[in-house]
Amino acid sequence: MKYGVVKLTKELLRNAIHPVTVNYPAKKDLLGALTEIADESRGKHRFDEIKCVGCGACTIVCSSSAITESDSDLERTLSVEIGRCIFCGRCRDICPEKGLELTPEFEMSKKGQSANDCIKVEHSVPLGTCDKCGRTTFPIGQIEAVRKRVNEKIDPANLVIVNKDMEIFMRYCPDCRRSGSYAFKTHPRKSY
Amino acid sequence: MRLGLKEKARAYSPWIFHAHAGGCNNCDIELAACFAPRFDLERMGIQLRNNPRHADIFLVTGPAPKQIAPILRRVYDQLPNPKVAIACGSCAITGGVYNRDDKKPNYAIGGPVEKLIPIDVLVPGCPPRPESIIQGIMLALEKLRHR
Ligand code: SF4
Ligand code: SF4
Ligand code: SF4
Repeated sequence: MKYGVVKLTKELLRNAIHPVTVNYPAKKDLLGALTEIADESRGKHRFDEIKCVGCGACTIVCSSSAITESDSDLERTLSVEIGRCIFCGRCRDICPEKGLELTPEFEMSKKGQSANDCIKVEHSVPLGTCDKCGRTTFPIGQIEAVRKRVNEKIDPANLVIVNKDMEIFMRYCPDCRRSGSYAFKTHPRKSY
Repeated sequence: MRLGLKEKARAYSPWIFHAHAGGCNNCDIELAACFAPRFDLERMGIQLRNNPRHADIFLVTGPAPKQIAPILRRVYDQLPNPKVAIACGSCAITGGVYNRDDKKPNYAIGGPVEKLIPIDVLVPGCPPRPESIIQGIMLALEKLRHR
C-alpha cells in the first residue's frame, strides 16, 4: 500500500515535469520538442533534382500504382499521388540512382472533395530526341547513367570499342538503331 | 468572417462517429491511439461516440466494400446537420492497395468513399500518423464552423 503511494507520487512528479501527452501542433517546451518522429519514419516523397534520372523503375515496383510517369514532347513527369501511396518505401529501395527519398514529413491532410484535391509530388526530367527521325527517346540523364554503368562493369579490353559504339547508338531511337545499324559501321558483336 | 456565438459553440466540443468500412484495421488502431494519453484528443473536448445521431464528424476508414456501401450512406444520412465527413487513410481516399487501377476497379469495392458520400477533409497515409488524424480533425472543425 505504502509502496504504491510512493510509486504514484513518483509517476505524478515525472508527469508534471515531462508530460506524456504531446502537444499538437508540435511545440517546444523547456525540455525541447515533445513530438518525436523517428528518423526512418516514411512520409512525403522528395525527388532529388540532380540524382533522379527518370528511368521509371519506381513506377514499376510501386505497390499501389501511386507513382505514374507521363511523357510529353520535352520532358517526362513522374508524379506521386499521395492519396494512393501506402508509404511502403519500395520505390526508394529500388531506385538505382538514390534519387528518391521519403522524408519524415507527415502533415499532409487537406480540405477537399475528391482524391484529385490530395497532395501530389511531381518531378520532371528532360527527354532526349533521336538524331535521325526527331522522335523523343529516353531521358538524357538515363542515357548518361547507362553509359557510366556500362563503363564500370565492362571488361577493360573492350572499353574502347564499346564506347565508340555507344557514342553512336545512344543518339538514336530504338527503331533507327535497328534500321541503321549497317550504315553506322559499328563493331559486329562477336567478341563481347 | 466574424463568427457568431453559435458558430463558435458548434466547433467547441464535436463528437466523432467512426465508420469502419472495410480496410485492414490499422487506421482504426491509429484512431484509438489518438484518444489514448499520448495524443489525447479528449483534452480538446473531442469524443468518440458510437451513435451517429449524437455526432458532428463522420470519420470513415477503409475502401467501402460493396456490402458496406449502402449502409455507409444510410449512416451518414443519420447524422444531424451540420456535419462534416473525413476520409481517413489512403484506401478511403482512392482505394489505395485494394484498388490499384481506376480503369480496372476491384470487383469487391463499392467505393472509394468519395463516390458514396460528400467528403470534406482528406487524411492520406497508410495508416496516417495520429498527428495527421488530429490535423485532419482540426481542418474539419474549421469547415464545421462555417457550415
Ligand atoms: S531515378 Fe529513381 S526516382 Fe528517378 S525515375 Fe528512376 S527509380 Fe524513380
Ligand atoms: S512508398 Fe510504396 S506505395 Fe508509395 S509511391 Fe513508393 S512504392 Fe508506391
Ligand atoms: S488506409 Fe491502409 S492502414 Fe488504413 S485501413 Fe486502408 S489499408 Fe489499412
